[in-house]
Amino acid sequence: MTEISDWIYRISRYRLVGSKCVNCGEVSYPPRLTCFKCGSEMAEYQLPRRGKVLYHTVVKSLPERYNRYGAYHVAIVELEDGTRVFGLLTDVDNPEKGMEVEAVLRRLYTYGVNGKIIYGVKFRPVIG
Amino acid sequence: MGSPVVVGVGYTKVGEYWDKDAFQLAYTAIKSLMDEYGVSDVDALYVGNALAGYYGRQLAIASHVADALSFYDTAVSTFSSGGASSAQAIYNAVLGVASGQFKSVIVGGVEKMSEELPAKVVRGTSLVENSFLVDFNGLTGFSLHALVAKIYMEEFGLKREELSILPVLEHENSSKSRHSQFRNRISLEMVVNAPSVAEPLTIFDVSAPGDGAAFIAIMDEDYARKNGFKYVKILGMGSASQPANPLERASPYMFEATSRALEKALAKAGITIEEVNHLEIYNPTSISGLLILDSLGLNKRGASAKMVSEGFFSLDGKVPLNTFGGAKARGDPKGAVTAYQFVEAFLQHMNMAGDNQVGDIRYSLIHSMVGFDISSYVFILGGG
Repeated sequence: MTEISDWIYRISRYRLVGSKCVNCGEVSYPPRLTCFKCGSEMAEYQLPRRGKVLYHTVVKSLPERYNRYGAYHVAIVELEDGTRVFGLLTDVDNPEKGMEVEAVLRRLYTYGVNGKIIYGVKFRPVIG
Repeated sequence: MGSPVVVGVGYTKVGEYWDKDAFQLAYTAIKSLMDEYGVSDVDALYVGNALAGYYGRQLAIASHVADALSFYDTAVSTFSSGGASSAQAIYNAVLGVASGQFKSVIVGGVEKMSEELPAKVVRGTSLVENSFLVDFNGLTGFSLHALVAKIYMEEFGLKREELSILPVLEHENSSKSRHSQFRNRISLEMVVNAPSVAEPLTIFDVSAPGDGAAFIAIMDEDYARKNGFKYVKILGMGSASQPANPLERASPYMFEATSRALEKALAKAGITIEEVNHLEIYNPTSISGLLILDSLGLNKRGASAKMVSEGFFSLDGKVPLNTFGGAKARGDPKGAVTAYQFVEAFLQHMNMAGDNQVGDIRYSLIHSMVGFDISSYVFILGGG
């Protein structure tokens, strides 16, 4: 990803906006231009912010930009409408399968000498 | 006009070359191919490379490899798609020969992965996946494999040890190979207890960065025969794709790009999968190897690990697999990997595989893919 593309997709990443097929209703996140099932156009679609962890792992072989972390959890999360998405977990040391999570806005990484901060959704355990 | 055939190969050992750059590696491989096999007329030079552009070393690398060799009368193309870079180069070289445009093509790949630090290598090799899905989210290629490994293990009741049966076989095969990067034998216990990359995967479940160059000469069959070359025929090939997001697939562990590419290649070659008795597949991880085997249809889905442990895919088994160690043990110099697979199939067919020689190959299958089976390539080799 580049700074410009990060900016272009900011709404989708701040608010968990995916896409929904105008023909068959299939939902995608990240949003797609065409439906992977029927090839039709897709419209913006607000995904629910709550869900549960289906599978998780710890990234220990770290990619550039994320290597300021020691290691971190990533997961497949099933949202309340049944849509499954990949995402980072935050505010949790030992995630468990089935754990209830909610999407929150978090700092993801920064760019070069300007230090521009890129924000996006992470999932944290539901509080209360 | 005959069919496209492979008449010669040139390659370096896969390893870490601290004193040679990509051009010197490519030169070594191409010169060895031309000298040893007497290839002099070159209509086209197609080069695969995954990372030189990302590293900021060189873009449009095929033009500069041609320039380094002082080839100024050849058609030149660069192919850059991760581990499938040289698969795409070879796919198009075969089309070039089959169309009659070229009589003789040198095609392959070169990669110099050791020129950057680990975090850059990890990101560079992960960017073949959808970057919104993976790169933005701090996922990596290997953590994507790890998450799907968990789904697969749960679905088919696979134990942790069973997941890692392939790397053990691949290291066994590479232990006798002269051009492989890792020649140490490993045990299941070693794999399971090694440092984690993204659990359940450890460093022995995944391929490591490697440097290397491999090139092959593809010619028109009539031209090759008239000029006295010995050869192996490329009888069929196919390519297909599927959604990059594993969650948008019929099932995250189904490699449908591979199975559709396979169908096309078999149809073109006019054979069935049961007639294939040698496989060189591109599996950068233990789990992806099992998923590829599941998709080839030699066994029921979920049964590949068991087939491996029963010896079906061993050097002396019914269908030898990754006979020089595959990406895991021979090494995974991304842009050159499929060219190495062709080199290895060629050596097998020509009875030049030394201690790794397997007997009586009828048809060889070479498989390659972009990322987690986003796009796939299957080639069938035989005859000659």
